Amino acid sequence: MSSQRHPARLYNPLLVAPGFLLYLVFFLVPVVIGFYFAFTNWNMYLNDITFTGLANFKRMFADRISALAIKNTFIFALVTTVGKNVIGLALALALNQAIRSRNALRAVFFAPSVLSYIVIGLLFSSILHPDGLLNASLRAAGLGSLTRSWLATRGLVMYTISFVEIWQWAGFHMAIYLAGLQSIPREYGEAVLIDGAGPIRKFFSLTLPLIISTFNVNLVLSLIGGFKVFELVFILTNGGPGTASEVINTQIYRAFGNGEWGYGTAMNLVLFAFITLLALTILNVLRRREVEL
Amino acid sequence: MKRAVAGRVVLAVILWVLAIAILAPFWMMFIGSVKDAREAAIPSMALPSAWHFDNFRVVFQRGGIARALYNSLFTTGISVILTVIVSAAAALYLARVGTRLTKLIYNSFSIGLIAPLSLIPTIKLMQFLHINNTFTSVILLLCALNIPLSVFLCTGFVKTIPRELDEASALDGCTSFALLRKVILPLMLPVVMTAAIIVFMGVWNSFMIPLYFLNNSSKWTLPLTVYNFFGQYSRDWNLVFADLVITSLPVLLFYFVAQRYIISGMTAGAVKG
Repeated sequence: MSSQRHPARLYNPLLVAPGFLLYLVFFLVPVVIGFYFAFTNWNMYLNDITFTGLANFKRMFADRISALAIKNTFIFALVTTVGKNVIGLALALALNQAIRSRNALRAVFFAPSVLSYIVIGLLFSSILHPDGLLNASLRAAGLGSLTRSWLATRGLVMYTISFVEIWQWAGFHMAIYLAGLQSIPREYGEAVLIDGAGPIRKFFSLTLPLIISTFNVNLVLSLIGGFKVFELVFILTNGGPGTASEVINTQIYRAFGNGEWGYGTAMNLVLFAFITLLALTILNVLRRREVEL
Repeated sequence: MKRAVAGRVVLAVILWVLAIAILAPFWMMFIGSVKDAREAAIPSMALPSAWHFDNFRVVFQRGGIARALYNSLFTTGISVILTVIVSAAAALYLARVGTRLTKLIYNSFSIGLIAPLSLIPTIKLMQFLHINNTFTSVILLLCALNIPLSVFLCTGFVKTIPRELDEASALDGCTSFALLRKVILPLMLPVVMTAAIIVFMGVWNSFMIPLYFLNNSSKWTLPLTVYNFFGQYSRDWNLVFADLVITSLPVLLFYFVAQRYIISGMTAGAVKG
């Protein structure tokens, strides 16, 4: 008798049980419970939890600070996604050339992504301080007019934090792009060169279509990472100056600290919805394009 | 051809200038950690006028490093081992048994790849289970968060192992677990190492989870003690830099030695997931 027809006999379901149960109990169950508590007034001061419908969500979009937090999260996700992908792809294209020191360069560019946000965050709070390394270098280069209070200026702070995130992760995305580029057979490029295409045409008509799935992965990863931003904001500004750099995750942290559990969970649900909808939409739209290519 | 060579040299020069933008903060951290407080407060890339290696001794004493190092090693070690073992076992079942239930389980893992966890309900769950504020809660949660990617990587790999091996060992009277341990796991070693690297990096560097789930300072991992230390000694940048060096040195050394494996490991999750 072939065991293929009797997989249950050969493969004990207890193989999958521990891993799935851990994931079910500690990830899926809280997510599902959260769907309910997001519509309640659950908090530390009341014994009874009452269903309050959309009250938490109405408050969230009416409240100036949490509306700003949502806007900031979008800005951060957008700016960092563009930055990580443009820089990551440019670095990958450059390092895909026959440069002698390319392994060393690749290692240097990737290095920041092995470090904790606490290390990157504190290093940059020193560098970006008004009297820090960045402004000192600008002054030394005769660009004193460009110096700013990078982390203490309202209109600037989200872009400064985005810059730090890009600094840390561009090399990670570079490595993914490089893996994609290296899977393109060399003969393809040579054929296009014989056809007389310039480097820009070569990139758009040959390279980009061939690495479109790599591009999709990078796009989705950077968007998800961008929406989940917490540590860098928490460490660099803790939401300041004032509330200028509040994001969804720092608002959840504050709601938790204030004992507003239902409200915090509602914000968590909004974050969940944004991320899931965006990721699924992008994956679907882009996957359809992949097939066409 | 000469033009192409010259072009590559120019490109290499540009790339090394950019590399300085990556290396400069690291340099600042290392030299800052051996300066005195007054010198470390001035932004400079210059070497210290006097070397203060005793900064590290001070940080070890005041920063609670020994305790935090133990806590980090303990939580990371257990999380990596537990995640990898349960993921490899699950992968064997999911790759071989194609029922509707296994497809449902496999697809449910993809939610965990994308979606954020629900923080406050998770804390309430931990309180309900009477494990809030313990290493157990942090380890179980970090496993739950890391299992989806490990399962995807491992399942993809098991599918490349011929089924005949399973059947042969079944004829030899092997149980599922003996099959996993004696036949499949040794073959899976490359992907298991990849998964272990991803989980190690994520857990060792994790800041948000211990911040929410460990409020007793004696249980804090390195990133949390560093944050707390900065709160107390924010004027002594030399000590803060020394603390950052202590926290990042294990990972940087590991990276220096196994750079090739770490880069391909950390990107494998993206490329294959």
